[in-house]
Amino acid sequence: MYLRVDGLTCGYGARMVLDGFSLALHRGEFLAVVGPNGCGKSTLVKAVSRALRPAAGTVSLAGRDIWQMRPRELARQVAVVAQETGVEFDFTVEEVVAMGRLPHLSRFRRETEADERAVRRAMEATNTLPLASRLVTGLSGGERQRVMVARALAQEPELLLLDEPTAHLDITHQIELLDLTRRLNRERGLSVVAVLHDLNLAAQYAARLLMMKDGRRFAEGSPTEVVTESNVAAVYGSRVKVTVHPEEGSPHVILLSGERRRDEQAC
Amino acid sequence: MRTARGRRVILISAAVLLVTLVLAAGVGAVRIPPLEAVRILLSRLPGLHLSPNWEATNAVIFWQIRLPRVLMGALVGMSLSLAGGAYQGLFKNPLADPSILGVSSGAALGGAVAIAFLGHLQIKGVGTLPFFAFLGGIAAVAVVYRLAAVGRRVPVVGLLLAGVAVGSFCISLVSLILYMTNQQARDAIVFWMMGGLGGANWEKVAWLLPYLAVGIGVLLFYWRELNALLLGDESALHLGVDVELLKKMILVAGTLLTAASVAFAGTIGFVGLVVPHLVRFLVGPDHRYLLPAAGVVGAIVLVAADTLARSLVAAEVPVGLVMALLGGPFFLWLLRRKLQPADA
Amino acid sequence: MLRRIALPVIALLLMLSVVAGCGGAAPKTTSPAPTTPAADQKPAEAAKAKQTTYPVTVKDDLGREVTIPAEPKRIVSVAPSNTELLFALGKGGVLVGRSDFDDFPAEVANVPSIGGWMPPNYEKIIAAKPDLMLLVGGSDEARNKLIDEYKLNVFVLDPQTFEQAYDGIKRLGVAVNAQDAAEKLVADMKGAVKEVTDKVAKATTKPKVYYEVWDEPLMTVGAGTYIDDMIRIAGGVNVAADSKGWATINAEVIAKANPDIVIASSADIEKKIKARPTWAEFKAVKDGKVVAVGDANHVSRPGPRLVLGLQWFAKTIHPELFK
Repeated sequence: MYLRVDGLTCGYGARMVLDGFSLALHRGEFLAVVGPNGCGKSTLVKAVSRALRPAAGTVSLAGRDIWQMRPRELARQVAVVAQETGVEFDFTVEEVVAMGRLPHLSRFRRETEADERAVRRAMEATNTLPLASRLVTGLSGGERQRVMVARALAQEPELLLLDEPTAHLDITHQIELLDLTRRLNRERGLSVVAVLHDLNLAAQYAARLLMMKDGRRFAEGSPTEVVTESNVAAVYGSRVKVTVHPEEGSPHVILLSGERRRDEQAC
Repeated sequence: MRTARGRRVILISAAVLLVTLVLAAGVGAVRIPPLEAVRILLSRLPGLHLSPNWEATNAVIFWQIRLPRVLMGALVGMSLSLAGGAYQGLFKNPLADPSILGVSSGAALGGAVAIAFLGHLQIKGVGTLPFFAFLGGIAAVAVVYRLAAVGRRVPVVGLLLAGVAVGSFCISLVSLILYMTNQQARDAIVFWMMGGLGGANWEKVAWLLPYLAVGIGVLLFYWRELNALLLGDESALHLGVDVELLKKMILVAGTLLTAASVAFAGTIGFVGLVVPHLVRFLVGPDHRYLLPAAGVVGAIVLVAADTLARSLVAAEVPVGLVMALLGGPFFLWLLRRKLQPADA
Repeated sequence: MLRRIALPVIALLLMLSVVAGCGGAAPKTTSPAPTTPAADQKPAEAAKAKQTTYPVTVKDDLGREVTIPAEPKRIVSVAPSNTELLFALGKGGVLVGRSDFDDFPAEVANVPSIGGWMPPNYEKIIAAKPDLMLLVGGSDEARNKLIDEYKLNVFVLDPQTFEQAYDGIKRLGVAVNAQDAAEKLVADMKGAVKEVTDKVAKATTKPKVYYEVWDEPLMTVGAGTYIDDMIRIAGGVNVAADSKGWATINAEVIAKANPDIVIASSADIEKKIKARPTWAEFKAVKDGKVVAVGDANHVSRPGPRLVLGLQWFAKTIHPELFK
């Protein structure tokens, strides 16, 4: 057991989005979390990354309560790639990626060879080395996201949390990002928890899916098990047809128009 | 490579600062020939025995009046620039300046109270005016913090709004005091608020140093975390930065630096805003180079402005006035460049 | 024949001698040259006191030609300087309004106060129904409002030097019909000044004097002030003589001048000067010649008490000549 969430009750102000939620993740797993807006998936990621303090329940990493650790310790193990964050300051790509080493550096220790290597490897993996001296403010959305992933990788984490990282990316970049993630998962054994809004991409790339509804677990299992027409209808309230992806073999959701249903009902 | 550039800028500015300090010590309302100034300076070095061929008054002017004033100018300029740079990071806004949280207004209020009502008090050593001005500044920020804090967190938006509110309130109280008091006190308050290093002496420099040291130390200490903060609160959090603690540290350091500066030198604008902005343009946003460079350049700027202020006429010209006259147009020019970039 | 001539000749001679005796005294009493001022005359000759014929036009300190239609019977003064002066001219009786800050002479307490000057209380001023307002410098806005909106007759009197005071007092004397009193006052003041000047002529030194009005920022008085006049008349040199009026001054300039005597505008300032670490080396501080001015009102209000201020300065600057 690597990541364990037990009885998590978590929310904003008086509103508890998650109530007694539990989850278990093994090392090296690629888990995708899906569900409609407001189902609690972002809240879950925030709770796991220590951005949100739970009202009840625990989150533990390798058996240790994350709230008992110092923020730095946690950051050495967990890296987060969130939705596109606008950076208004003229940092270079290299400087931003280098910030990923922050959890590993102490106050007076200068950057060492090891740090520089980690940064370089992160940039190689994300294909951002050519952008090294470019200013972050001058990049496209896709390039910027890749830089953020590079920064996360520079942290040399054990667990990578992705919170809707493809939200503002165009198709090519979405694929690129997930290809990269899958490669890192397979080749380096990086554990991944990815919140994705696109069911198809989730089904295509993740080994395990968690479908949430109203702050609760609705379905969990392999993509084929979770992505079914009845599940989708129950959770999203929309009529779909599920086929098989021609290359990946994963379930593929085809959206059906709501209008035809009305016509059919009229008949 | 930005690192090399950052280092170069710091080294060059440090050299310029040294030259500026020496030149400034030689210039003033009373003319002391440069060679004589150097001799007076060297005469204090142990081992050197120079026969005094200068007037006794010149030595007094140099040691007791001019040198402390030049040093205070450097320290205040450094503090305000550092505070400004740090706040610009905290608020992720390159247009923030040290007075954004009401510390200057609070200090002005403390000073006004001291001048108008407490003239008879004699606070040992530091003097009534700096003591109350400092208290006023600290109190104002404390109020701002309490207003803005939500539980253990301090949202930046809340700080800004509370800062504006408290600042305006303090200034209105100052107006009230100006209205109530006699002509003399009124003139003194207005003049003090224009910012001046006229009353500088070694004692005040000694009082200033510890606050400056703490403030400077804290800010230089946290340069990596400040960098991370620029990526966003959450991103910084994910990098393991204790964001709330960092915010508090910056607040405390910035407040100490600014309150101490205002207490001893009145309200001096533009240094804390323009210098970090300009330096960021030269060395980039990396606080490792930005903060030290801003500090050194800030010292240069204020010493230069004050040298101008005190050598033009026999009267005492407030350095804040000179800063405003020079800094204002310069700032407008910077703004124009930022809003109308010539090329992408 | 001789006896018949003798009697008329002796009578003629007797008559001539009587006429000659009376005629010798007459030229003295009818001499046209006036040597004694009217106030010295016996009450029987009071009818000869100089009277102002109204309407009269007098220039005030702003250069305005002020026309006064009749002798003012209800004067409102907004500053202690003019109030004091009015009483000194014997016209305290026509004062119907004075400022909160007026404190001399004691009779002033019997006159109702109309508030302050900056800003003025228009209601109280109007309620006092003045036929002449005595103003000082300061708010143009207030003055214009009194003239334009409230249609009051306004006379600005705000002299800042001895010479300006002599001239201003005389003009005020014409305006309020107290010319004799004004002339006497000016003569007395000039007399006192001469007394000091004469004694000072024997001085062997000319001490450098620095007068500190305020400490943060350093403020002193330059040319065009009573204090500057007094320092000069009392045989000293004002280190700030090149500045004008109430001016800030750079500490370096004072250090360079290294004044022999430092006069503070108040006891608080005196204490601060003595405690100043930077000034410990200054001559005046080392010699213990730092003193607070006797009475600040004696050096700021034109009137008989100006003489007291001058005499204090004389004693302070040349103690060896004035016991």
